[in-house]
Amino acid sequence: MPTADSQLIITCVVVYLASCALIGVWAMRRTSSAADFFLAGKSLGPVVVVMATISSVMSGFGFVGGPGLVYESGSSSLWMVFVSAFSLPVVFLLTGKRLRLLVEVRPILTLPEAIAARYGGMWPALAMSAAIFLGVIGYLGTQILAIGTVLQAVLGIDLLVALSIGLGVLAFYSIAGGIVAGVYTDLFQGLLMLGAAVAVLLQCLKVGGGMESISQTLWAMEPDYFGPWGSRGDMAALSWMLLFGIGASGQPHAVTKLMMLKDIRQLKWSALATGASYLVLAMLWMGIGLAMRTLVARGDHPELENPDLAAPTFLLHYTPELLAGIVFAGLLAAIMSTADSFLNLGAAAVVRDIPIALRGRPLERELLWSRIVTGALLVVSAVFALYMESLIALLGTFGWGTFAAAIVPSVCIGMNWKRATGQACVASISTSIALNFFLEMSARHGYALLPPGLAVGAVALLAATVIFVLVSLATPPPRLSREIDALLDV
Amino acid sequence: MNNSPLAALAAVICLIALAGGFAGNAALLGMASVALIVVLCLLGLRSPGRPSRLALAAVLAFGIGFCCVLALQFHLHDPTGPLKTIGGFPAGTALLVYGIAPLGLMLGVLYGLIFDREVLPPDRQRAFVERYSSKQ
Repeated sequence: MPTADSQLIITCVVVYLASCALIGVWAMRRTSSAADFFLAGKSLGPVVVVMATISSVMSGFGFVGGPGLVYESGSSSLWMVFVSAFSLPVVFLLTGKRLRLLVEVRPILTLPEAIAARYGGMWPALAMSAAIFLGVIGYLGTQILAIGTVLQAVLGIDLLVALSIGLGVLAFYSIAGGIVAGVYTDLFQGLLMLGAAVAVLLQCLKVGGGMESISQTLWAMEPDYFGPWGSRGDMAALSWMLLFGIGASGQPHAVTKLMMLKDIRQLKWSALATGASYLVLAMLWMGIGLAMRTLVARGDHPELENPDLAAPTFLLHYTPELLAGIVFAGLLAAIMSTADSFLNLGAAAVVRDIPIALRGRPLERELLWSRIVTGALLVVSAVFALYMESLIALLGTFGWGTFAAAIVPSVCIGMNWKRATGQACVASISTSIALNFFLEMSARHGYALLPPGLAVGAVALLAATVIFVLVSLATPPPRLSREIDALLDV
Repeated sequence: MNNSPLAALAAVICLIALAGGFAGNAALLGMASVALIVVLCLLGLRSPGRPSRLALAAVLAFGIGFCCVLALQFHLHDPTGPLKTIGGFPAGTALLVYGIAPLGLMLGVLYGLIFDREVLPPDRQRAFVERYSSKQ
């Protein structure tokens, strides 16, 4: 990764880190119970929820991997982000009302607890907790590695020192302030990212000589690259459309945010605001990748060693220093906002979900244990990220697809279909975990079992949905409590 | 609310999408994916009764519009011919940027428009919360 030697860029990043720490101090005073730690006491306004949702979904992958994918294969990966226009509103439509109502009438703080309420019994909640925990470890590892890499580039320091600084700030605000700190840093981070995305798009168009000129250059280089499907072809583009278009409804860091709204009626326009805001972020994803590829195609810049260098290279060489500093802070914001959401989900799985599934109650002194487990998760993930990089890469890839395939049938369909059963929930979650692991592992070891371009996560999502419906229809109808029966009729 | 027919339809569509994917037929995979999104939206809207005409029309318009855009993209993309642009983008890609994105936002607009009448009328919300919140 290229290194920034600008005082202005370093200052922007240091100011950002200090702001996060200050929000952590403020949030600590507002966190006095497990309900505050995991669900922000159901006290959030719509702007906070919208910003927290988009900034946690747009991870470091969006700010670094996304432009890298566009640089490498053109339009293919645009199908991951432009579908957010409908995928995020669909999250609200399928899950928002019922999850938020459930939280209103029961002391539920997490998604596995909602699953336990919906299906009853120990196994559905335990299976959901396991799926979330596995995905969280993978996601956290990749985010932690990204924090270290970005800070190393900006500050020009050793990776271990960079990790210590970044994780120190993340640990401080996540442990002290729980999800309250998480969502308010997300609000700050989301606004930063939105501003950065618009400014960078304008800069990309300026550097590339306008959209028409960029298109001419890229078409001359390779027509398929900037055609509707990109270099990876129609199968890859459309299976990503499926995985990201429907799979967004299965991302726990997005779904859980809807449970935190203070007033359920604020769901009303939040769906549109979330989809539209995420589309703005998509401009950064698209703009940097296309501009950088255009510069290389015109011979104005040498070919990049690694597509993931597209964003940092463009920022350091082709944007004004202040903008680069803001975007680097935005990049760090994207990574840290995702990491804090996953830390909270992981801590909830260990302190509440798994103990409740196994013995009917969470750990004693829940808030204290939540803080301890949050710190422990951070340390474990950092060790994994540093010393088991290949495992982390596997789990990172596995994360989105596993969440999508595990949560879309059980939560999105299950919350809208009375006939769905607990057995079906367990079967579909098990299918999701097994298929994602098996297909990813086989592809990584050279035994590609799927046709070229077909995304593993998309296959797992489709298969898990089929299993969910078939097992539900094949097992006896569930005996729903009056409360859940009424909830599904609201 | 009996959503079993819609859930079964979703499973059938998933099987069609899988068949499209394994047969290397991207168009079938794409169209089935759009159909799955439409069925999921209907599942979300169909409670406690049928969705209104507005909701039904908007979701179907989204699905049909999306499928038409996909078909046009397959039709318009000609890598051997000269570049034709719409709004600065190659024609097929422009349909993604200027077609699918606004179409998608239509679902967000619909959700807001029907929220008070269909998604969660205030009286239904009040009745549910008043009846069950004492359990907390």
